[in-house]
Amino acid sequence: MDEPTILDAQELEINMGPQHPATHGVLRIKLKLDGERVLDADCVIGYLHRGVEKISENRTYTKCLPYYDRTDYIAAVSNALGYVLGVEKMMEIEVPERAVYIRVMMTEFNRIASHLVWLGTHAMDIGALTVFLYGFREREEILKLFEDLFGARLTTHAFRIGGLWMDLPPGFVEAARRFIDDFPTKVDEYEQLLTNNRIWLDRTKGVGVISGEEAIDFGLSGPPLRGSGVPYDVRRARPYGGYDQFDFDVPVGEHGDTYDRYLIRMEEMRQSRRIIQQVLDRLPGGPIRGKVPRVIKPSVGEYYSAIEGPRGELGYYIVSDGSAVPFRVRIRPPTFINLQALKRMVKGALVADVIAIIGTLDVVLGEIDR
Amino acid sequence: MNEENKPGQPAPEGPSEGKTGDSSEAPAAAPKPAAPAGAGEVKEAKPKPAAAKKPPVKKGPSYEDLTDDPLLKDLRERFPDGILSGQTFLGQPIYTVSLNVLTEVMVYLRQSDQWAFDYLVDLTCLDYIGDEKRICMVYHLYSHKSGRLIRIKARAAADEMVPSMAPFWRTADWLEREAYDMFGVEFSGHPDLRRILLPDDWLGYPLRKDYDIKLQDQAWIRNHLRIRKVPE
Repeated sequence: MDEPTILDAQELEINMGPQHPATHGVLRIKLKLDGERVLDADCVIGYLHRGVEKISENRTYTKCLPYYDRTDYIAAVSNALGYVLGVEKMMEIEVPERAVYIRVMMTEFNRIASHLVWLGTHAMDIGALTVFLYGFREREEILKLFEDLFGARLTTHAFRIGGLWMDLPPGFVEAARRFIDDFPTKVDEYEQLLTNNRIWLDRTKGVGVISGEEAIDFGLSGPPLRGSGVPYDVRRARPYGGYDQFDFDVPVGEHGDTYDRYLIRMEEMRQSRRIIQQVLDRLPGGPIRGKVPRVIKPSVGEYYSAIEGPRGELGYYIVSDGSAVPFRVRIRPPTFINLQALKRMVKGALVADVIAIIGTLDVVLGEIDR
Repeated sequence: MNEENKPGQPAPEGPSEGKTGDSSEAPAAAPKPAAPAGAGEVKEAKPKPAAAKKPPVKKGPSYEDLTDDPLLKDLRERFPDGILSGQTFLGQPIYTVSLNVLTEVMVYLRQSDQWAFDYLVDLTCLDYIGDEKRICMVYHLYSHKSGRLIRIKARAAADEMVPSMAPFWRTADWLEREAYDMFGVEFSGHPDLRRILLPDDWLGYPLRKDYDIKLQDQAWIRNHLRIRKVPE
């Protein structure tokens, strides 16, 4: 204790990642450790950088769309929504009611699917493997719905400017209904495995705590912000795409820890199901695409269109110079900004908690690096 | 007010601005220029005819001046010379301020109880190549108290230092690093300004308009990826 020896190597710097199963992609964290305690962390990102924003400046407004699927590939359906809404606003395109409803439904399906991936991988990182298998069972059904409607499971290219590509295929509504009828019992099942599980509580309660004030300072959004008691949900704050027509609650946490964020996401899945139920009950008929000019050429101007993606506020700042290619499309990536708080959240935590905290931030590196 | 707004007002910030000057020689440029310098102009050649055609057709939304906006009034009183314009586009207010009062305005917006814009939603840049002040900083601020979203803009020359917002919003830390990485904007007062998405020793700033999409740092690729001949 008195004399420093080789055994108390006080500061140890290690690399976590980029190829590490618990970093959910290629995230590299330089951890500065004192024994098991984390003194500091520095994230190294950019391994998946493809220059999506640069590509957007060289494609027409319609051709940009598939690229945004590939930023956050776990929530490909909702990614498209923000951009499509923005361009429609700038072009003053009216979207038929039916398309609006279907969009809301698919976005909420996507939220459930995305939260199931989060739940499965997060629980698996912490050591509860069963939930992963259960969650992916339900996700598979949602992906089948995606495949029926969009023709793809992952890179869906879901929404088009002005509406949708195709109307719902026969049998879709029945299949969707079957899914949402079953789903509440499935969520209960996951909760049974985790919510009062002693190990789960030990690993998540009081881990990665961040106060509401700090969360705002860090610009967090999505469940990490709401977990700290700030009731900010873009669907409520600045309703878009028809969300003002549906009833849903915005769950809010108290302690700002990993456990609260877990509870919020579980509740969000239930709320998403509630929205889908309302869509299916009131689904109007009619066309699925509005009148769209052959060439999309918004007049000179700019628009910031944000949606509440599964991971937080996903914004598209679209600037038009009056030509058929965007002058600039800036993507406000929710996880890029959320990940910034990792450094603060892991300080003083144990190495094992770092993994829990990465999981609770629900990072998708494809979107962080763009 | 739109008629006089169109040619005049976008001048400090309208996206097509600045092209009006060089668009005369731009259309003559080859459609696929090998030189990166030509890359930006090809696309920007278009706005001029579009703008010229606009008044008769009168199509699409346009910039409008903010009238009776309490925030604009308050800012004008506090920073008489610093507030260049207050406009709105599709209902989203845009305040253009001069660079030398940017920090004061932002700090005031954050700290005043009346406005309380405590949430920096986004920070990014636009590159108006050919302008004297080609970099346009764009900040989106949101107030959890009032639920308002506003946009602040400030223009800077390419080699000008832009004050960092990182001391006031921790969000700005990485966002400014990204702006530096992609546009080469230098922020004064940033605690740790280095590249974030691209490798540290990469040359060039890819989101600048004179950086062609096919352009790569050939030397970097040769050295790090051991690719002898990089396809052009």
